[in-house]
Amino acid sequence: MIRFVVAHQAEAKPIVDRFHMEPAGEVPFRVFRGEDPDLGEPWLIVSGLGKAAAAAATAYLHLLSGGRADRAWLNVGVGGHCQGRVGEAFVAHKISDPASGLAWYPQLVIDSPRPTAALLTVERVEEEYESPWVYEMEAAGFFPTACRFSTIELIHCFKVVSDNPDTTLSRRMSASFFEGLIGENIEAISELSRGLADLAREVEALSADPPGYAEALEHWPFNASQQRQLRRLLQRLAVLAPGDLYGGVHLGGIAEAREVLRALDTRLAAIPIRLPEPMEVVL
Amino acid sequence: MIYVEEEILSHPRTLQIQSRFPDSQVVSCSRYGEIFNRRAQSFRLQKRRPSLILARKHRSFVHEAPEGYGYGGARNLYFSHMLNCIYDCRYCFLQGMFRSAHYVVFINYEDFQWEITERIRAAGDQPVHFFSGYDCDSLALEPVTRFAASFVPFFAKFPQACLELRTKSTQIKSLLDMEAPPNVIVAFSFTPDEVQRSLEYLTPSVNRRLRAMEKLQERGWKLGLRFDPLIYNEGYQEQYRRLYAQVFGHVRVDSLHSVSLGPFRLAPGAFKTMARLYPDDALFAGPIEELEGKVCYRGGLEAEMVEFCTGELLRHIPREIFYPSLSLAPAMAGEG
Repeated sequence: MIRFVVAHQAEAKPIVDRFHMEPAGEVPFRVFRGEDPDLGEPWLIVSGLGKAAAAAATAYLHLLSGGRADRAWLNVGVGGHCQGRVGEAFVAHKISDPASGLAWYPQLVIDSPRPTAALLTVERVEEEYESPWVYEMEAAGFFPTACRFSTIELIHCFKVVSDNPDTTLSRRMSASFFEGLIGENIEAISELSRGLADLAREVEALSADPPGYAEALEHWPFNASQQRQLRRLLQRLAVLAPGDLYGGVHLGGIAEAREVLRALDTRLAAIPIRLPEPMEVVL
Repeated sequence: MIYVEEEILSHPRTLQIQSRFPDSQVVSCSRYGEIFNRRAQSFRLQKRRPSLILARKHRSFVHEAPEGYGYGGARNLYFSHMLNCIYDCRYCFLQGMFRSAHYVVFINYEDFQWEITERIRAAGDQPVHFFSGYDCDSLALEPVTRFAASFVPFFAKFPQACLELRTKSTQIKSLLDMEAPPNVIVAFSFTPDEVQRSLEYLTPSVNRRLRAMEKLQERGWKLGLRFDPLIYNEGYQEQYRRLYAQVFGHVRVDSLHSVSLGPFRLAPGAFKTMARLYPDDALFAGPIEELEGKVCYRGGLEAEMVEFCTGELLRHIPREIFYPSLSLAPAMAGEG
C-alpha cells in the first residue's frame, strides 16, 4: 500500500531492514520490495540526489509497482535546519521550490508522529540556514510527481535534521551517520506508514468491485455501458441487501446481459430503504 | 492547522480568528487556491481532519440565486463569506462541488458589504433578498467568524432588503445579544430525527435546533423553516408527520416568516461524485434516477413525497407563508 522514495542507499537501509524488503531491481534505480502485515506490499526506490532524480524515480516506481492510483507515498530523507537538533524529525506541511516559485501543501489527515515543518527544496547543498525551514533537495521533485498518481492526502515527506549551524556540513558526513539518523526515527516512520497504508486501503475500497461483479462478468457478455450499470446495481445491492444479493432471484436461466440488469433492478426496487442507525449524536 | 494568505496575515479579523485557536499551527500561503480545490484531493479523506483557511475574496462577492429560490417576486441574491461546512450531511451538494473539505473563510466582510450596498441601491424600490447559507451554514462557525454579528447590524440599515441566515446550528448567542431587525430571517433546516441521526453527521439534534428557535422566537426574531431536501426511507410519512408535530409544538406560526419544502434533487455530475465518494451509503443506493438533467427520486415517488409533506405542513401553517421549492437548485449548505 505504500511506496518509499529516498535519495541515498544509506537512508534506505533502516527502512529496507524494518520491512524485510528484498532487492527488486538495480537499474535505472535501485528498487526494493517487501511483504508486511500492516503495509501490504511496500516498495522503496533509491532516487539519487536532487529533485529531478526524485521526480524520475517516483514516476518509475509508480509504473514498476503496478501503476495503482490508490497507493500512499512517503519521501524519507535528511536536511538542514537553523534551529532543529540533529536527529530531530519533521513531517512536511509545506514544500517550497525557490527555483520555480511554486509551493505545495501536503494534507495530513491522520496523527503525525512528529511535529510538522515547512521544507525548502534547494538545488545545491546549503551551508547557511536563514529561516526555520528544513533545507533539503528532493521534496519539490517527489511531491508534485506523486500527486499525479495518487490523492494528496496519501503523499507525505518525512525529514530528519542532519545538520544545523552547530554541526559540520552534511556533505562530509558518512553513510553510517545518515543510516543512524533514519534508524533513530524508524518507529515514527513506521507509525506514519501504517496510518497512510490504512488510508490507502480506504481509498482502494471505494473503487473495489462490488460482490458478485467478477462472477457476473464471467457468466454474461456485458458491454462497457452495461458493465457500469452492473457495477452500480451490485454496489447498491451490497448496501441494501448485504449477504443476500439476489434474494431468491434466479439468474441461472438468463442468457442475456440486459435481462440480468433488469432482474437486478427489479430486485432492488423490492427492497425497502432503511437508513442505518448511526453513529455519534451531538446532543 | 490554519492556512492564512500572506496579504492578510496581520488583518485584525485574521488575528481575531487565529486567537480562537492558540495551539494551531499557522501556515502562510500566497492564495487559498494553492490548497483548496486542487486536483487530486479527496473530500472524504479531508473531512476526517479539515483545516481552516483564511483568505481575502477579490471579486464577485454577490451572485444571482438559482431560479426557484426565494419568496414571491423579490430579487434573490446570495453571497458566501465561507466555503464548506463544519457539518457532514451526506446529501449535501458541497461534497459534489468541492474537492476539498477545508473551510475557507473570507475575512474581508467590508468588501462584501460594499457590493451588497451597491446591489441594494441599484435595485431602487424593488425588494432584494440576500441568502448567506449557500456554500456554508450561516451560523455554525459564528463563535469563530462573527459573521452574523457583523452582517445583521449591517442589514438592519437597509429595510428594503432582507437577509436570510440559513442554518442547522444552535450558535445563536450573537443573535441573542442584539435586537432583532425586522428584515433578517433565521431559517432552520430540518429532516426527521431518523434522517438527522443517520445522514446529518455532526449536526445538532432536531430538539436542540428547536430549543434554539424557541429562544430566538422569544426575542422577536423572524424565523423560517426549511424542509429541504425531503429524504425517502421506509416509514417517511410517519416520520415527517411526527417531525411537523414536533416542530409546531415549539415554534409559533406567528413568529414564522416563511416555510419551504423541497425534494432531493442534484445535478448529475454532483450526484456521480457523491456516489463515488460514498458508494457504501444507503442514501445513494436508494430509488434514484437521472431524469431530464437532474437526479431525483424515481417514478412517482418525488411527487408523492411532495404532495404528502405539503398536505401535512398545511395542516399547521397558512398557505400564504408556504413556498415549495421545486427547482434543481441544490440544497443550500445550511440545509446540508
